[in-house]
Amino acid sequence: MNRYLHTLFLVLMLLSCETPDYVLNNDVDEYIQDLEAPALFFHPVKAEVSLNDTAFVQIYGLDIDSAAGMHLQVQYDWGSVSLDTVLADDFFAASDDTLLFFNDNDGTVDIFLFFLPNEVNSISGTNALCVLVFTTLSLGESELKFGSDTKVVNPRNEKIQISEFGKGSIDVQ
Amino acid sequence: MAVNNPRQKIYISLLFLFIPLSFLYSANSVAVLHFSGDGFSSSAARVQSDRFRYVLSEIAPFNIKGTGQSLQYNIFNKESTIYEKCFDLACAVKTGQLVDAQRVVMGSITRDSVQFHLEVALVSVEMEEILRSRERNYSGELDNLEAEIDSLVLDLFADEINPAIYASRFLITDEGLVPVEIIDDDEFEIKYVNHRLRAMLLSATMPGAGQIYSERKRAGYSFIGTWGTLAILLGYNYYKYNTAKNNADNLYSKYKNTDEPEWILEYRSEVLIEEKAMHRHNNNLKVLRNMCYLVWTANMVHTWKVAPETTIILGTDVDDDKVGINISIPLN
Repeated sequence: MNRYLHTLFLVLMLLSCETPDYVLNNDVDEYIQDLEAPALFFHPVKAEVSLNDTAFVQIYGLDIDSAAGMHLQVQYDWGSVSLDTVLADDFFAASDDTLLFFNDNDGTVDIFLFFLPNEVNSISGTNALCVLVFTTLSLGESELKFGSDTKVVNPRNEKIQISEFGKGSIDVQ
Repeated sequence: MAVNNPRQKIYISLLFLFIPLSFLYSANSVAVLHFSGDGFSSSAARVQSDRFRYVLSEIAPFNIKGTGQSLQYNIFNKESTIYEKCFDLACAVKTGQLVDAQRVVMGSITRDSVQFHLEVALVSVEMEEILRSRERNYSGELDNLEAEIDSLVLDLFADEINPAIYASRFLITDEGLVPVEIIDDDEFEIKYVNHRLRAMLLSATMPGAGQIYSERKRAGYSFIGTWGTLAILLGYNYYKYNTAKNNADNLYSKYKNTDEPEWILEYRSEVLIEEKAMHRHNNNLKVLRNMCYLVWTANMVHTWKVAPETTIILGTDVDDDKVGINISIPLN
């Protein structure tokens, strides 16, 4: 009798599940979690490319609320890398057409992005704003950072406060 | 309404034949109730009443209603305390009516320091009167009390005992009449049925089964219903837990293998949602598991309380495996 009871007790004891722990330690995620939203940052944070190769660096908006236009000023090591072009990315994909202008001036590139309204007139969330395409010119690490003129506006042309600007780099090996 | 079908006529004739036969059968029956004990354990008193019933069944030419399971259960279900402690006229009459006996034997055994006082009475259920009673005092070991019980049977039923059976079953010795040792007789069996153990094992396996075995069907079905409800809730929560876990595993794998920030953030939030659901359902499982412990324990305690004790079945053609069978011992 006792043997049966012990067996049954053990079976009942096993009727609970081991809950797995999910360690959310993706490198990119850890970097994003350290940012204070809303924020702008480069992705990848450190682009590793070869000499005379092309480096693609995306600019991301993190938890941006109701953005309708942007002026992104990016400073880079002029001489170490050169900017080939700037392409619009997915952030304003809901727009009929994303207007993008850029002006590269000796290590400082000013990028202007505008959302063309259709049913909606602004976009919120986290997504890639544009892609910077560089050509590497010399070995070493060159820094990417946002300039002081960078700003994001809503449909009423009011400035949206950005809490943090991330820094990036291009490591030429 | 005329009956023209010959087969129906045969059935009706057989029916009218069996009805008086069944009345005859019950009319010549004696129920021996468990003796009450004073200064004497209930189990020991029960053993002596079993002995009384056994001897009576051996020497008296009528049907002895005894400790058959269904009789006992029926009485348990209605008024078990009356059956256990029955030593008054009204109780004996009522019990006799319940078991459909013509007469009832009730008895008591009182023990003071050195002496046993045995008292039995034969009650007419129909007349609701004590027909006769006998008393006996006995000083000595408990082992020999059975001999006194045997003598009481003879005293109480002296006028009705079948002389032929009587002669074959008892010997005249220097100490008086002594029943022949018939325990080993091939035609008789003694079976000890531990109903409580059976009920406990059944209840341990399936809560409520022991109660149903003990004829406490309402309680049994309640326990089974509760257990079933808990099982359904356990199944539901396990299914939800498992689904959430599979989703979380899948999303976590994607989260680890992507390097696009927007997807990382989306997978991250979905992993957290699924993880939360998983924890919620796992907590539900733990609560339900604890409830299962409680219900199971309560079920076992309840089974222990309601299960009949060990029953000694005496007689021919004993089939103790059939729960609810009516054990009676016709002599002819």
